[in-house]
Amino acid sequence: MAGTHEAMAWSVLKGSVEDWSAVLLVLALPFAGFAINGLWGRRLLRGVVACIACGAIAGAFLAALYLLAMNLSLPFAQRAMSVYVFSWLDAGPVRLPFTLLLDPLSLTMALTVSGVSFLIHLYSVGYMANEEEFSRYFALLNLFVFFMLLLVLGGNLAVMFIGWEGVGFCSFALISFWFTRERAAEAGRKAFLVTRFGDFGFFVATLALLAIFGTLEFGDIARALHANEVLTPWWGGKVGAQDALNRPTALGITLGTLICLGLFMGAVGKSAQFPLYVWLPDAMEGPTPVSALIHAATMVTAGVYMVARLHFLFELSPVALLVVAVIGAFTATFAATMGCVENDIKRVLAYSTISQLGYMFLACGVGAYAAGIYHLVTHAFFKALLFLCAGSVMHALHDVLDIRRMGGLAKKMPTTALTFWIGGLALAGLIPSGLFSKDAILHAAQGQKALWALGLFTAMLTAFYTVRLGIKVFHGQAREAELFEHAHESPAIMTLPMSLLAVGTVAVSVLWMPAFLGHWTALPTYLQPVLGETHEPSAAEALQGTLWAVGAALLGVIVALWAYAWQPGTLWRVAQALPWLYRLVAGKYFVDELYATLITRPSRHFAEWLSGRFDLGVIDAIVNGVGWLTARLGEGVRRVQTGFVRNYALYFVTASLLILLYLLVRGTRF
Amino acid sequence: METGIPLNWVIALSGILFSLGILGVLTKRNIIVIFMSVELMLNAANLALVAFSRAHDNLDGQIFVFFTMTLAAAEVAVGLAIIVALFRLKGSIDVDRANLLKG
Repeated sequence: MAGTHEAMAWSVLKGSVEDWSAVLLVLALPFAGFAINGLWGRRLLRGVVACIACGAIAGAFLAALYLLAMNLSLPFAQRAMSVYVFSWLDAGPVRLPFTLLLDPLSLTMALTVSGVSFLIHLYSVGYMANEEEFSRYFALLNLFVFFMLLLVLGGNLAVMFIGWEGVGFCSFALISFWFTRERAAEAGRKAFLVTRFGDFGFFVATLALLAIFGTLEFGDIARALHANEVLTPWWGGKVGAQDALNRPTALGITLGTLICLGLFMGAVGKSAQFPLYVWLPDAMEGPTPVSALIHAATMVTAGVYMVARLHFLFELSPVALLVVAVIGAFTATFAATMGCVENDIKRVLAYSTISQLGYMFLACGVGAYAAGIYHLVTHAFFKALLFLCAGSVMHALHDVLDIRRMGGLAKKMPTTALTFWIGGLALAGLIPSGLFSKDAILHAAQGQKALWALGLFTAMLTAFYTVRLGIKVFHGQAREAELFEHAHESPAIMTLPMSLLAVGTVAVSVLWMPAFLGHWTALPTYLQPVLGETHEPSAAEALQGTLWAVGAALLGVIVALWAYAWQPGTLWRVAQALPWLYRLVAGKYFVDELYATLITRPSRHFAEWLSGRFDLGVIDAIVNGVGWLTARLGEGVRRVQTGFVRNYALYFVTASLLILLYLLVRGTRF
Repeated sequence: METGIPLNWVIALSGILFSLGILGVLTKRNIIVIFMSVELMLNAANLALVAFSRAHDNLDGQIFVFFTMTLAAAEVAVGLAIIVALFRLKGSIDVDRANLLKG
């Protein structure tokens, strides 16, 4: 895990776009799907719209698979390939080519994104069958996948930024898909603004990197840092790359740290980490498959991917890495506690996403990038699965979300219940693949005991709220007879993707298993050229770590079973005994209220003042004043226009005479 | 060559003709008379050009006169057409009655 020789391993070769044209297909197909459905979708049959949308993503997945096969056929050291597509911006010293990067990391991401997205698209065909705006939905869904693929395949920070902003827009458009509902429109706005706030840091850091390195290519920056190339940054002079980043700033931290923190700010917004996580729970207002897409494949994983992609930069700044790890571990615990008291089925899952993303950042912060990416991949499967299950439950109960009104649904919806438990137990870290990926992270965090303890505590909480959710929804007594009577299993087009994801959840664990189960390390080996050597613990160490994690999770399961199956009501009495604590957590730590008081309300007042007093009194006054002045002037001058040709001729002659006179007085010497 | 009418005389004549043309344009209401006055001004200019041409022994001025004549012919064609159209519209050729654009 030593940081020095990693950059050496990651040397990016130049590939020609002719040899790697499949990558264009990966991007073009989802975009074509968006264009066709967006432009003509209303005139097409629903079946055609669905086929185009699903086919586009399936095609992208197959093209990505082909690229993976090509990539695997290359020698180990040549698997990072930068493909130059065209010159995007070429203005003096600023050169931004449009390049795509094909390396183990981006291909892993592209496959996960397109694969999981395809299943979600398939599910959406069933879920949105009665939706009026079927084509708009699928067009936006395709665009979402397109931007996410652009984000992960981008060869430099600028191309990544297009995708980065693009997913931000698509999340806005899809969260507020039912924009006539006030809450959905507001949630979409909130998601856009909060993530935009983080993007600001990302953008400034990008510009700073451009001003220092003169390029935004990932490969070039890594090479410059590794070889400590001499650069000419914006403050003039010639300095080595590492010295440039070690330049102290007025804030008392180095420039490199500042840049990393700016980048991480973008990740915090996009990946819903504390303190910018507030948009994600509200994003549940969108259609459920969209939630699955946002939480599993697109959008929220972008931040983790970016940190892993730029790990060579973060590694130069121990402070930034520590911040990443601490924010990750804290968010993991913080969100998990809120998940424990939430009663909205989708919001529980939303908090669990925030919490799991915290794990991924924890992994990145302690240098276990491969573990973070592994958890990203497994999480994509089981979280998509859980959301699709939640959607299936909502479908059956006609959009009831409150788990206090559910119960006993396993009898009515066996497939949904079974797949939910597979996804849930994976989330809780009790069955592969969630078990293995979470173990890998916790194991890597063992060096920092406090973070490790937080991780274990979170594992317990995760198991608790997952089991609580499962029991309340699928088991016990049906709490509302009428709802229960009308419940039914979802159609095959919905249960098929769920089953496939359930299989995938377990199957993906073959990519990386703990040492005591043999030598299953396909993923870390494959990622090694990019992310560096992964420290593989010995079998005994791995077993010990796994026992800790499973022990914590089992504790959570037992508490949940005790509280909701064996002794229902006991926990409620505990909550009553600690009313302040319960109110604090159930009120989501009043972070939303805090933001409302500190940020939203003052800016709203300011905006009201601007739109009222300022706009009327100053802006409008200036505009009206200009108009008034012009009108008065015009009234004065219009007398000149008599309409008689002779008058005009007279003006003409008079003016000519005056000019002649002037020339005479001045003399004709020009 | 050096004998003949002095240049100044010709220039003076040209100036007088030009001024008469201006006066005609400014004072007359009959559009045909205005038109004739404009022609007078053009020819006054022509006269000056020819005179200078001769004084400087340079043919450019005379060539320029041909252009002016061509232009004048075109102007007559267009101008008379406008006058006919105006007469059909208003039943008169008084320019003061062509006041549709007056605000």
